[in-house]
Amino acid sequence: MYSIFSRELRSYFDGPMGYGIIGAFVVVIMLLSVLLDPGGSGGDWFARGELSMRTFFGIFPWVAAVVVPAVSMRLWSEDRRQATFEMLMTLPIPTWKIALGKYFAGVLFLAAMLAATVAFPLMLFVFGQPDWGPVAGGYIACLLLGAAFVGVGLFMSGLTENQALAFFMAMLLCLGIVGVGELRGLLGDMARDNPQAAMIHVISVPLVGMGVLAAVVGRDRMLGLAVGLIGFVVNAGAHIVNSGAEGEGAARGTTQAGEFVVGALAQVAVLDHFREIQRGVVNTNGLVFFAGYVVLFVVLNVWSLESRRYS
Amino acid sequence: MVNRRRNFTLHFYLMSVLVMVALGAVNYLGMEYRARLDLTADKRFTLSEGTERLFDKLTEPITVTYYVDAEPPAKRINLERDVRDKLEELAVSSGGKLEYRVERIANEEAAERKSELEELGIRPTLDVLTTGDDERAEMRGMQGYYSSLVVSYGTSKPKAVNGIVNLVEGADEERQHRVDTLEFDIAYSVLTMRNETQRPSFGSLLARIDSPVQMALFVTGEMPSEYAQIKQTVDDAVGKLVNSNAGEFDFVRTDISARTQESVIQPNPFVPDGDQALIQMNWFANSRQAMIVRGQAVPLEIYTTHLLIRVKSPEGYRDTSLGNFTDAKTVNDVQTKIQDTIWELYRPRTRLGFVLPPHDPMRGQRQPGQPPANGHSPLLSYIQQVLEYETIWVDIKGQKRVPRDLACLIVLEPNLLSERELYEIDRFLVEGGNVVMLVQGWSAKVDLSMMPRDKIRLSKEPSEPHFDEWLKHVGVTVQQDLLLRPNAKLQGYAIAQDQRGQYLELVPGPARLAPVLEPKDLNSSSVFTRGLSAMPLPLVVETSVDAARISELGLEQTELIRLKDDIYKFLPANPAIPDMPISFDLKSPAEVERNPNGEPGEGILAQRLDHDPLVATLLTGEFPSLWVDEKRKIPGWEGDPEETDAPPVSSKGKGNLLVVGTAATLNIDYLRGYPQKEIEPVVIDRGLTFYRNLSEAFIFGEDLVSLRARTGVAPRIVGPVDDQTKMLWFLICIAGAPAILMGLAGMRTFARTREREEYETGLGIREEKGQEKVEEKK
Repeated sequence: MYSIFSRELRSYFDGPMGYGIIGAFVVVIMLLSVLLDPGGSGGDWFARGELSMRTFFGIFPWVAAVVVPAVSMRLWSEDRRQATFEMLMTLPIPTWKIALGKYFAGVLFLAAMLAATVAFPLMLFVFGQPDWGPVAGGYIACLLLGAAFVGVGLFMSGLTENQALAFFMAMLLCLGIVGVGELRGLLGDMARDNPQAAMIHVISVPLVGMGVLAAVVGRDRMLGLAVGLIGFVVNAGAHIVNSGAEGEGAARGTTQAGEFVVGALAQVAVLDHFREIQRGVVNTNGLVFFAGYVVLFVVLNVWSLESRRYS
Repeated sequence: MVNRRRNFTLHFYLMSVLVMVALGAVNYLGMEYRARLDLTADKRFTLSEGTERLFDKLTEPITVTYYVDAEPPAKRINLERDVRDKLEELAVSSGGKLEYRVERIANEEAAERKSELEELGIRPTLDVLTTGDDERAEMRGMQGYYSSLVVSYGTSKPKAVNGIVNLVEGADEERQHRVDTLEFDIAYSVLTMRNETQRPSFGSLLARIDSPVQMALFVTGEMPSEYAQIKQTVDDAVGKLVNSNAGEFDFVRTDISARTQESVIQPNPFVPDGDQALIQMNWFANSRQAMIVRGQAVPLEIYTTHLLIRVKSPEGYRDTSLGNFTDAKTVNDVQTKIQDTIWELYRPRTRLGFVLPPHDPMRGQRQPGQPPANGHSPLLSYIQQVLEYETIWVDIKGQKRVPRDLACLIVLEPNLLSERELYEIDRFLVEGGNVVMLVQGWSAKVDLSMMPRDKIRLSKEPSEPHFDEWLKHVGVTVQQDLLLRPNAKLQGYAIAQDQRGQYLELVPGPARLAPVLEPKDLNSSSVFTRGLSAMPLPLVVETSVDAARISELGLEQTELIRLKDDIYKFLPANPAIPDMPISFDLKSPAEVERNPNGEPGEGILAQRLDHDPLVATLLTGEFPSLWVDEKRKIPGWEGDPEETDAPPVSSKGKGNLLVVGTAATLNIDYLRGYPQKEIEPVVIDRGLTFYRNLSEAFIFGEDLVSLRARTGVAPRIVGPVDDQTKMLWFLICIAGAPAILMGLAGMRTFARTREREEYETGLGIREEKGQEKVEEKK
């Protein structure tokens, strides 16, 4: 596994691409957080006078959703392109070890990307005495979220030999994962108004996702279509139930079921966990959550590669 | 193959579901048995010990609703995010005891919902205007923005916390309710709600009251129809109430004449000498013709429905009158009003005792049995009206003791107390009482008629030797020097006179006699100093503590106010007549010695201190008694010179002694020196906050004191940053790392090229450069 890890890591820095990605990442995220400051200080980080990196960490999920797939798109696709994939798969090493070797190389590259932003905390240090807890928490949160995105990129990279397609699919999924966190408020409102409909949504959306996975990963279009269709019908039903409840002018109130759904949504929303750690509060809940994401996508990656043996 | 693929797919599904379930279970366990590590320097996302202890005692959940503008002013763009962050962490760390929700108020509904929100106690927050706020206010139809919490707990009336701001600029640190104080604000609200005496049902309330509730209804016989209806409703309500609670009321109904002269004043039927306790009736009238009764213009004919209610509370009889029933439309409304009044008269109150300095002869003759009149006297009514505590004047000489049921005894100018009075206070403290001593070291004459034209007449207040000795006994000394600060607010007046010597104009003088408290002066973790920023401390002196003595006594000391930076002591030109020139403003180098260790030359009126003076300190513990410990004789009362031995003391717990180097905080003599626009919003408001803090800290005791008053503010950039430095750091942040990476990439490419060349040379594909040259020469 170590040799795979070191080979992958070296490949990042052998050519200019790795340096280019890190450089582009630094320029983009620093421009957004220092110069543009979406925090509303009128384009001047100094105007706020607050010695914190909140803006930087606030936009990191969105930037990472674009940059990390660029890092991970080549993890498998490059082997496919160079025709070393078959050789790797015939090596007397379990597929999961190869996948983990590649995964950790991606994570270390991500760490290098984050390390390249050291000028920001250095600037805080020069201008005062920042609270290092939230800064450390922010970097931990970025690393955990980035590690989850590397998992997504690894999985997508394993599905296709086309790097651009792998990048695009991974980026869409990462943006979706971040976006669900932002949509959580909407779903939360729905859950309070109509917990049944929200619950059905929460169950049916993954069903559609599983259908897509069956078609792509399992290469079984019929089964994928069937599962996806069930998910879609259930989801549409939930919409009708929900709109019906709205039409009746359903009283807004908190129900136990609604609160359960809101709680469940909070549990699956990446941004909530990210923000909690970013504030400087590291908890087992968040760590387990991100580890779960990583495990899920690495396992999916391994299975998708294994499925090739049967195709 | 198809079957193998289908099998794999099914296997994939099965395993996917299993993995999902496993991950869900692990996540659930992570959520249930969560451990958390708060990395922030001040542990701002961890509940303080006091809050945890309070939450542990709660039997019901706390519900917090945050009302915030959906589109706040530009300056507060991150307000909602900051408050949410804090509430979220509090909710998580409360272990389910706190739930919150956020209600956003859209611009278009702000004006419409104003009255609804006012009913909840929510008021808009007024802030320094920023660009675009005027248009915003015009669009919304109201000034300010909403940022308020409503805290609900149990059946108590929810409490609103208004004006919550996030820290955007330095001035925000002076605001009382900020994102970093939310934990305190919520915990404090819950604490007060929990401690509010729960109102019993009306039946239980009547059963609790020792004697029957006395009610006297005074009604005019013949009335115009519009008043007759009210009379009938009140009559019915009172009758119903008395009949349904037989034996609980002592009711008297008196028909009175409409003729003013006979009816406007009535004797109190429940007082033995009722003719001496007259009640003035509330009345309605149609006539404009008036007569003068006791200096008041009253119509010739009046119509009355006046209800006197008298209740025996644990502290004695209290009474009040209900004369206006126009808002009570039904019998039920009137009954509710009466029941509320009875509860209000009966409910236990927190009592604060005040020991006032001697009567000021300039305020006329002192009435027997009345508190002495002086600049401090209105303080009692301010506190009673605004803070709703019961304030009582403690006449130690008259009562020969300090009542023991006081939550706190506030002694104004204790330096003037007789030894016997001081002994009684010492006894109260030693037995576990809470005493606040506001020591007045200096006084100033700001009475216009007493002032010379160009000087403020200052005088050193005398201090009885036994008081100094007593303070020293507990490890405290009050210094002599009057402290000055450039930001002071109490101003003397320069008086312009006309040719006949009449005062024409009052001009504020610049004398810096009342240092204004700044956030840095205050012990930010103490509830005693909460919300005191911007409070002036008129004529303040330093108090110092003897750490060795305090340690020897086993007392605990907490510094509350220490004036920081740029503090001066006054050096009067003539110590016997220490007047201060009205033009003195601490700016002239000829009058101010800035070197703390320098020898002040002639004409120097102030010298900078070499330390930050402590002006308020709190001592807690089991206090020793000067009279018991040192076996001093107790002096007799005035006119009774007999001395006695001090009886032994049995301490009933820890007492608290708070010593402050000024008593003039709300002395109305000095309030006249302030600009009118500052008196209400700054001086009185902050001054009352000081007394509220004191009282509540002593009433709630450890429960409140252990709450974290503040969790620190977000670190901010120190000092101004010039544009060049800003630009340099922008460049370092944005281009620093990419430039280094480009260098690294270049070096790596160069090394790779070299490696490749060497490799190719080794294979014989490429010849070495040196070799080529040798061959060329050959």
